[in-house]
Amino acid sequence: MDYEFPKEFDLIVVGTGVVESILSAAASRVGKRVLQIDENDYYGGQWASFSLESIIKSKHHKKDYGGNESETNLLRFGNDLVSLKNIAHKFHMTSNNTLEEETDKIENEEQPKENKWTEENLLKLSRKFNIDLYPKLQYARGDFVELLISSNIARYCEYRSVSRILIWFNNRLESLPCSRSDVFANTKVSVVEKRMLMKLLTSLNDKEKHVQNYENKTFKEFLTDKKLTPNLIHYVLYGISSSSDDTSCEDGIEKARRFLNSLGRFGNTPFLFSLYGSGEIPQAFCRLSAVFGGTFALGQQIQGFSISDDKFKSVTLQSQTVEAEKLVLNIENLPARFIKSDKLEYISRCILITDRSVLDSEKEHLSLIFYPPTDGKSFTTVIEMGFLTGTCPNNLYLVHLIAKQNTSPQEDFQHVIDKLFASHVEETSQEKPSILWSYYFSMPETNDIILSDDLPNNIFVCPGPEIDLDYDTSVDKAKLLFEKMYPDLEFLPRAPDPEEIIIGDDNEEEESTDINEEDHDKVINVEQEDKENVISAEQEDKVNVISAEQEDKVDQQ
Amino acid sequence: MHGRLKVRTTEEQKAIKLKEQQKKLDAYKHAMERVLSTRKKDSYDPKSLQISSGILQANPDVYTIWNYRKEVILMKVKESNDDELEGEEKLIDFLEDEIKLTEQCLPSNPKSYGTWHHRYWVLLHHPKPNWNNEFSLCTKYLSKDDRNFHCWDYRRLLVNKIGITLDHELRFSTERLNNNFSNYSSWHYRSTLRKLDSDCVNHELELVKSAVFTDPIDSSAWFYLRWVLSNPTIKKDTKLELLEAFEQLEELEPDCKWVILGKCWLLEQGDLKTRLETYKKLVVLDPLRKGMYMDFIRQAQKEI
Amino acid sequence: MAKTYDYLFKLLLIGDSGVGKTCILFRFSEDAFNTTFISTIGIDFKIRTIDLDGKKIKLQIWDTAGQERFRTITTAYYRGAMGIMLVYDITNEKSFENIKNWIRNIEENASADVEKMLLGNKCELEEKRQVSKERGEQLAIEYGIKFIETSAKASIRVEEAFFTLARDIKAKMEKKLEASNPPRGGHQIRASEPQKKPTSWLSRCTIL
Repeated sequence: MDYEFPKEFDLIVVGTGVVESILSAAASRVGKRVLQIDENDYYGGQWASFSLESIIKSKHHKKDYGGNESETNLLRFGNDLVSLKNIAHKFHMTSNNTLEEETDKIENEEQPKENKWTEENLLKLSRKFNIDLYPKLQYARGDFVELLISSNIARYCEYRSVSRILIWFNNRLESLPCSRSDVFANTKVSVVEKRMLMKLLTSLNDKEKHVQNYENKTFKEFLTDKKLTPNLIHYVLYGISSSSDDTSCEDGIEKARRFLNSLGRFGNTPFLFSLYGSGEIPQAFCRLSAVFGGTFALGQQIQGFSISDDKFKSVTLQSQTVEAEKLVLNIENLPARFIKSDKLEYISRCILITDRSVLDSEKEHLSLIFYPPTDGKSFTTVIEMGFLTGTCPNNLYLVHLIAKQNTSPQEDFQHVIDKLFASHVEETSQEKPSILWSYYFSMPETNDIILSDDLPNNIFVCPGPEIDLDYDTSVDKAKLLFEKMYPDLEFLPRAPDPEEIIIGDDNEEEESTDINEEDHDKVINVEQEDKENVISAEQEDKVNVISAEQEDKVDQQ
Repeated sequence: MHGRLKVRTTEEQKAIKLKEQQKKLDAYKHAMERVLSTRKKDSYDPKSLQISSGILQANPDVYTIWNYRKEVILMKVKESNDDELEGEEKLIDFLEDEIKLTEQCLPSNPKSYGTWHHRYWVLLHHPKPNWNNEFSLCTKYLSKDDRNFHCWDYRRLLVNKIGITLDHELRFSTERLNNNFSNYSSWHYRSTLRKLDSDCVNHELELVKSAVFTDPIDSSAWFYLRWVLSNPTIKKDTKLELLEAFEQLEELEPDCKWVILGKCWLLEQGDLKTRLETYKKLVVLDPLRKGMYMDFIRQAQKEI
Repeated sequence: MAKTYDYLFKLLLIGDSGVGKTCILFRFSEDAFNTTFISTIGIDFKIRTIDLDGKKIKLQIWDTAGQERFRTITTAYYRGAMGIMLVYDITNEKSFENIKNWIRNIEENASADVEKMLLGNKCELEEKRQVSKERGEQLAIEYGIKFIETSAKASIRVEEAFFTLARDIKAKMEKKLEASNPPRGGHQIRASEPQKKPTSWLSRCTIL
């Protein structure tokens, strides 16, 4: 295996999370020589997916390879501030109980439950799990999907539509009426309420003028003034715009519009989910970067980096030093001295493995569930995914819970878990799913971290996942950073399809292989023309959405 | 070392596409000539048959070629009648391939008369046709485009052919409406399923009421409503209740002519003055049909 | 849009840097060979549609984009792959030794029933050979897969390799289909189906 890197690159990227991978792809795409490295031996960092065994084993904190900083004159990557905290996991079944129950049942001539899950047989299926540290959905007409289409990266992944959205209301889970067909079929609201809801949704979708008199008011006040019944306010506020009581009117309307705008493009909810988990996404961008010449190395023992004359100069790996004009790194990797904020906000996270869906149905669903704020607890988002998403074995479900942290993950989610799931210790109720395994942790919110003023201006810092359901903020951040790094270059122009590429002839070898800006422009301009021809109404074909009927799409591991 | 990516320009691409199209066109013409020149009454050329399937996949609307294949099929049927031992099996194999062909042609034009008709025709000649399978084909294409009237027609053919429970079709109809009620075909189909009696007429009213409240601008639901209202078993009380509901709806949607028109249907035997006022509102709201409303007014005035 | 194929197979090329994966890809898809290929900029995958027993098979063949160099092939690369060409260079002992590492990689990341094939490339360089044909055959037998020595440069057996792999995948798939017993005349089209017409959330049916 070849360990020698070239001594010099245009850009070094440390970390393989989504934002920095987008930048890596964008830079490679316009001809920059990029080296992207990660000390982990997997892609994704805080955006990665894991098998069951590896998420249990992983410590999720920085490794330390460097010697004494003052000795080596190197700045070490990493800080203690931005890392996962309060990690706790547990298997919920005890083998003793199982045995007794089995024997009792056989004596009573009852059928023992088919799949009696034990820690052992769950771990045996470890590789069939793709557990996201931070699961994300994609708005069908959001910036992220548009970027996937326009850059042609869409073809690296496959997607499933979120097939239903549920909301906690009146002490039970209800279907969220968000499309016209949902409203029509809904049996819980009166016909007059149906009209009022449709009227509001249509007006939200069309006009801008609402916000005029509501500049300093909340979305909830706006909805109340529209004379919506409490039912409808609940659906619109907590469901369609996934807001809280104090969300501003402007924000609430914006979120609702985003939701409605994406309905119907790929399915009857606005959301897509990447098959095999969200860890596929940073990999897709890394692949594009590689296709355009990016060099990749994982599992690197990174010693540190050097600065000279207030500028970043080089990164030192195990055996060599590599120089570059610019450095991009994930905020996890930034040395503490460049971080001004000393206190962080956190996102509470919980991941569960369960044995049935929270709401049984004929077919398997990919469900998005909204649990509105209550009694001082934050708004909680729940995503329940099954076998057809390629994230867990058959007959099991993976459930992700996400909320802005109040006290601790366990406390923040206790109320939701009590309502939706059966504690395994009790007699297993036939209705509620049992929890087989749980994993809790706190993830820092890094989008608004203040950096110190003496950070060299050729170092660019990428945030980790933020609390939004989708990637659009991350895309915006990547675009902003790219604009700073390469102000005159185009951000991820469409990559040509295989048929469009001309292979060089032997005669071409005399031509200079030095890339200058002009040549890049030529290539880019040519593709601009292509763009007009290709981005047509058939854009939908570019995104591989697996339909609900295609059950066998998931690889059998 | 960093290399360079060369991409064809749009001019080059256009030129390549043009060349390809020309090639395809030549191949097509050649194929047509070949097939038609070998068309005979009592025998067929296997190679031509094969070529014809290629033609149809490229262009499923060439009736002539479908008919050519029908001729071949009739020959095969005759052959199978003469062969006592294996005739049926061979025929089934042949016809199954034919069915597969129609399936391959559907994606390129799901609204091709030729394809749908050929499929049905083949099944009619099939010794052991699987009609149930056809229902799922219908539903599949309807899901892709719920305004594909070919699917509805095909379904009617199937229902007539094998007979099916009312329950089953009602469920299907409800499913389609739940999926998207803005669809004339869906409502129309529902209306052909049964005669409404006093038991189910209220259920239908509730269903269509939900639709018109959800989206009063959608005309298809209103047409169904009018049909339901023409049913003699509806009680007067029910009509009054509905009228009240429409008054509420009118408050929310004062500019929607359908709501007012709906009220008219309910007022038919009602208070004359109110009816005249309502018609006059319609003249203002829906000037395109002024003539019709003026007509109503004249008729109503005759009653005085 | 007329459908131009019956099946779509995603195939991968795997092996150390420099064994000739991209050249094999080009030989098969373009019938071309380029000695000056320094890097594979912009080469993502190539498509070639072949005819197998009356069915049109669209082969979508993916290249590693240089990510094999430091063992950084993404797990996403393996998703949905139906066939994998494991390639080594017969003039490079190390590349042959690494095949077992690649196989392990495949076992960890790809579908359990993916079809694999071993290719010993650059067989035209007989004078520089380091790995005998017998060793290649032996390794293939150990893993229960087929083995072919190829030369992208001299265009030797590259076609044969891909056709064989495609045929094996097709056979396996058809057996699976029969086993799951679809009704004869049922929907056998496995290639990507035409998408549902996208609608805006308020599309209406109107008669004027």
